Amino acid sequence: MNTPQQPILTPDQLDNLGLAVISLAKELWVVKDRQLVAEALLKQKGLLADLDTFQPDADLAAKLAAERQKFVKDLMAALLDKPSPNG
Amino acid sequence: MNLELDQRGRASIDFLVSLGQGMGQASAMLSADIAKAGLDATNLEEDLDARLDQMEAALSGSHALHVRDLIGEWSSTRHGRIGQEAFEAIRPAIELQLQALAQGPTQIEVMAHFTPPEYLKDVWIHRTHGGWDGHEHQGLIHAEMIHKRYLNAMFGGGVFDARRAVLNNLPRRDYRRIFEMGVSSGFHTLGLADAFPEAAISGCDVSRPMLEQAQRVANERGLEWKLYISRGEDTRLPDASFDLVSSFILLHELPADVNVGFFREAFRLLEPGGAVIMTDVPPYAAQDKLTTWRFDRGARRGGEPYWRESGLLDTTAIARECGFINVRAFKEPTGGNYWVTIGEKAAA
Repeated sequence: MNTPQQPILTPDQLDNLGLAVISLAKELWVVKDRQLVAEALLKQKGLLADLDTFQPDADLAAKLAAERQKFVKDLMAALLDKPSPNG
Repeated sequence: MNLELDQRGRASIDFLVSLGQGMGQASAMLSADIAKAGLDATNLEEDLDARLDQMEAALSGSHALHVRDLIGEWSSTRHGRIGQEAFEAIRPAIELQLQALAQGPTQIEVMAHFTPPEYLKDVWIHRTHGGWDGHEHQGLIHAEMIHKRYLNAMFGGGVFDARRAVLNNLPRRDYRRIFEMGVSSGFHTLGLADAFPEAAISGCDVSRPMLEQAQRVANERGLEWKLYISRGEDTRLPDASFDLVSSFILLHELPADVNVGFFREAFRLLEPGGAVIMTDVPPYAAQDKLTTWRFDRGARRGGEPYWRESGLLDTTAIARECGFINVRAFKEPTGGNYWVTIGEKAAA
């Protein structure tokens, strides 16, 4: 027997989901903005061609990991925050 | 101050602005939904709560209303955090500048009798993360990140001009001793200093982080303001010690009895012949039922706990009851959604 289809989120989590989508959109915009800035800088220095082949070293890999963890933490907060009368 | 944000802070605030401006489409759709439901300013319930219920029922299927609520919820609960994050990113680079601007002619005094008001306990006005004292540099964050970059863009770039323009409505141009109730980060105080460059300027606020930002604003320009940590309704400053008392966009953040207290204290602080000017959002009585529904509903969701009780007051009646003469109230003629109340204290 196949696994029966069953709801995952409850109706009261819909608001969290909507807020999380906007948080993701904001993060996406920050990255998109940064990407355009970085590409403009790289183009100025003639380095744009190296973007796709670049491999992060240990320091950059650690920084990416830390940023990624914060990214996920913020996403989880948006999903899990209980509605509050303040903010 | 002219702070340069890091890329993340700048892009995050840019997103807030664009998201807010993008609400225009949802607003137009909502207006169409209201019209489709056959509702307008002439057929809405008189009672405000009944009107809220009437509109919720009529608009329960309005996709635009729910999208507006979602974006409003996200923006109001996130803007403070985004501002704080943007500040922390540049904090090491500006720390020395902040310390330097704490020195100068403008200083802050805590009034001995001061206790934080109960009406702001656990209240985060505008849902600003942590409230006005929720971050040691909340004043700078609110002024530089939120007010200058976010709210000013949302309101078409005119919020600073309005803080100066309303003063053109005053009956005299020669005020010399001015007191501002609710200085916040000093934007209106700057308007007062610009309009009356010869005047000695004082003011109060209940938030130290806000006054510290006002202090930076003044010291950066070499201005000497006396700033007090005190409630506007109970300053304990001497009777008749000022010739102009002003506040800007503050009354709606205060309970009704404190609104009255501000006018009463202004009268006490003024010398004979002095004037009071209180600028705020228009009262409910000056707007149609549909407009008041929009603002009333928005206030309930946007961290404005005293919006309704303040908006139902008649500031002209209050001013007269406190002893002012030649009282008038009107919408600021140069634009914006500002309601100006002016009263004068009879000359001796």
